[in-house]
Amino acid sequence: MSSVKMTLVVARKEMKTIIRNKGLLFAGLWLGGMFGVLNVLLGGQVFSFNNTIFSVAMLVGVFVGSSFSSFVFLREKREKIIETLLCTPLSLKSVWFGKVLGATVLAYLFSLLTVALVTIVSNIMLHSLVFPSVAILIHILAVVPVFIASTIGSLGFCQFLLGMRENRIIGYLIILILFPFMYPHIFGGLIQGNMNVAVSWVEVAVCLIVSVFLLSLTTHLSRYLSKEKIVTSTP
Amino acid sequence: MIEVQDLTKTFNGKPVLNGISFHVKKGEIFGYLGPNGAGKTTTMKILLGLLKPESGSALVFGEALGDNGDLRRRVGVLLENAGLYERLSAYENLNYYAQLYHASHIDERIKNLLDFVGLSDRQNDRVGEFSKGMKRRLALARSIIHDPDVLFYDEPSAGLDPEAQKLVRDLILHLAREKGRTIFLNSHDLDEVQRVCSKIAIVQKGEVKAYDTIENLRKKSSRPAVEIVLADDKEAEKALDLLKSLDYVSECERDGLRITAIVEGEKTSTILGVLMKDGIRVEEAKKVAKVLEEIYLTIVRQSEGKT
Repeated sequence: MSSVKMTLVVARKEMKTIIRNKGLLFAGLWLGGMFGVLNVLLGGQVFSFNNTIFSVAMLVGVFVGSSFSSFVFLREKREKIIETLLCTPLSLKSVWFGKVLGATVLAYLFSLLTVALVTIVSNIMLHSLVFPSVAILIHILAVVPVFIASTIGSLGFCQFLLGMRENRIIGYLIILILFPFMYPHIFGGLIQGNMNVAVSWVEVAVCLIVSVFLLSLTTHLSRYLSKEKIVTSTP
Repeated sequence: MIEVQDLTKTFNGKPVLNGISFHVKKGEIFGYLGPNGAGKTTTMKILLGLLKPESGSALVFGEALGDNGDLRRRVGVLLENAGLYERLSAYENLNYYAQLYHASHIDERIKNLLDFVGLSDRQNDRVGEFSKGMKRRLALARSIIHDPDVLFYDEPSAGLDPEAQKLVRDLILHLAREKGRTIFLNSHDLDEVQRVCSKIAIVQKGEVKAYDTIENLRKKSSRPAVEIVLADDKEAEKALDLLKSLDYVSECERDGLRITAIVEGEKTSTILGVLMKDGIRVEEAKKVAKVLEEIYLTIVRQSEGKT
């Protein structure tokens, strides 16, 4: 069996275990609903449908993805199930990639659900038919999944490599670093002194470049993950 | 099949293994014994490629397991943690590992194994609902889902009821005797080790203190002892004094009607003759061999400098 098939076996298993965790699913739905509706309601005068969709899609994906990441990486490591998994013929990279894939697919689904919710709420609030622009559609379909995967990938990499305390710090740090990319119109507006900046192809492209870079970096770094480090850094 | 040579390992500068050497032949059941913190699990993890040795070698099938997928496919493990997913059913757990190990005839194999460990009626229940013993039995099934050549078991009977312990013993013996599998058994359960292992190593403070068959260790570590049960309590003191006066009796202890004497070079019949000549009535007399527990404790205490 090829390593791709093995990776898919791991990804399917991760999705199955996440779906069966009601607490995790509820937290994801609550997060998506809360972020989605709040962003629309609190947008006020400066509310921009495209800007909101741009940010909420990434924000929900990243936050839900980080909780899924803790479940599939950290929990398995803490409960030492990972030791048995590392004794199988599966390579460490396949284990890492399968987990990232499984968590990303579900986190992305939550992100899409939130986008749908925001679109419905916005249409009701604005009393007119609004749809995302082409740039935002491309963003949702191509950039968001890569962005979520890169976040889960980096978090998972750290969770495999480090202990519990270091992971909390690194987890916050990664999300903090990625935050400006989730709200480029706000950060960009603060720099330019103009809060009416609309996200465009430029922001979409920048996010894509950052996500691809981060994902490539963690994929490359995953080669240097060692079984010994995972086994001995058990939180 | 398994070969460990001058293995050393340190954690944070503290030596955990200090020149461990042993080998296990094909079809052997090897018991690896020692107190907590002796280095048993570390040795096993190095053999499984989860840890890297500082120096020396730990080979399975003549090679370090490392990331060699083909060799890993021939190895089954049951570590301290059962390695099961609580949100998956018994069937799903076995199916997952069967796929990872590229097992063949998966459905049939899972069905047979669930039957064997007595969990076929619970195959669709989530493992989170299982008792500790049921999880351990399922983990045993998981460890052989791909029909491995070598098995590494870390405390396989821990937390099991006597019936399940027997199942573990039967499985181990079946795998070794009838299928020729090699088994590395890390255990605290000396009774289990005594019943199933052909060879053992006792490790303490990262060093192998004894390494041989149980029978040879018994011969080496125990002096010939004779246990005599007297017919009458009134004669016990007289018998004890008489035995103590004999040159070839080095130690003599009394516990009610039972007297245990350590004899040097003499036969049980000689002792009996002496007692009977003095009119002491003997109900029963037998040579006693040390059980593994005594051998183990003697070796561990000796190496700790205790008597």
